Amino acid sequence: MGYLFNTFDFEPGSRMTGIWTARERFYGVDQVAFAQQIRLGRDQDGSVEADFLGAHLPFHAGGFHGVSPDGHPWAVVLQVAPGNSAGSVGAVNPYWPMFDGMKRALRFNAEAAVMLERGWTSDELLQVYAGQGVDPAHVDDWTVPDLLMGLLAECCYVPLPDIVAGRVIQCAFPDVNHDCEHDVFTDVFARWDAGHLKPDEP
Amino acid sequence: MTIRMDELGEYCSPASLRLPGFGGAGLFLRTSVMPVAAEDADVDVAALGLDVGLLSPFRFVQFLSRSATRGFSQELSSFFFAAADDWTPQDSVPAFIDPLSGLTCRVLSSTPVQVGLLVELDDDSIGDPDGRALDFVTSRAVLAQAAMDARILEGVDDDVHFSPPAEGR
Repeated sequence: MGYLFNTFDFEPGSRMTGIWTARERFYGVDQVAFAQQIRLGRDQDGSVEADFLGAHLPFHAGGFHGVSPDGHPWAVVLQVAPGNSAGSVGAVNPYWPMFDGMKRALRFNAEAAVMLERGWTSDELLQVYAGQGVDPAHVDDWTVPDLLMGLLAECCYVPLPDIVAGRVIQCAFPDVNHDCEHDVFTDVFARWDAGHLKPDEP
Repeated sequence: MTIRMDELGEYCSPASLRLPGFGGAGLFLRTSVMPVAAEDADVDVAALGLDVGLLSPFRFVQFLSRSATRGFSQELSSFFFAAADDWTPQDSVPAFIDPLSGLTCRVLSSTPVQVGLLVELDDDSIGDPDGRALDFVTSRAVLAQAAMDARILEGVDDDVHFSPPAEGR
């Protein structure tokens, strides 16, 4: 399983039912990444609620949603913000704008709640990549949004080293005949959406 | 019956409906009870009140304490259910119109899994017509859930109780 799956506390038997990315990717220096695991209301539609939440987050980057074995829907929502943006409201914690953005969005969904959250600087993301078998020298020119998209793409059952290798040629599946998206991340997401990517058999 | 106020808060939840859509849109409804002026009072001494909220990522417009027609929630529930269930609801489902509150809902489009809705509120106090209309797409699953939730708006399901639920309920 991917790093993000292992980072959050999913019940055994949980499964991912959808993955999405924000329409815009924000670039800048000294960015930080933030992820929150959201427990949605018992009868809520994960695909609608994930899109609804994302639309209310200023620093929204993407995420994935799914269901627990008991049928309870959940979502993991990813955000990226400039590290110095918290200073605009006098906050010290660089993750505050994204933490507050989710709190603000959840005003419109009283049944949803944040279960766990995690933030990373660029250096910490490089360490994550090293832990997933990627030489940090191969990704040290990646932006924080790129590094986060790589971890999101890894959730589609594509090994992170393969994604990093595919970035060079902007194709995630060079040995497979497919309609290439010419962007390694979009390539992975499109193939997952088409139902071609499955976890390895145990 | 003696009711402790802290128990009332614990067991009597607001009668509200939330209908979310893609792109951060949402319709929020909440019913309440409003007094009726003595000269208007015939049999009823209280009227049904309705708060309406229209949400988009850049605007949340709320209309408070509008009078609503008794039984409107049943009709709204039927509208949502038909919109969720019909193959082409934009052709087959009549608009929901509550003349008293001015709330109108109609189906604009549909696919096998999604439905486009237009929600409007007849209120001239808002100069900008965009402020009293919301055009959004949601899923059929959300509409089916809204059909059930709408019934709560007038306590149709009788789930408001003033004593602790019996064990096992």
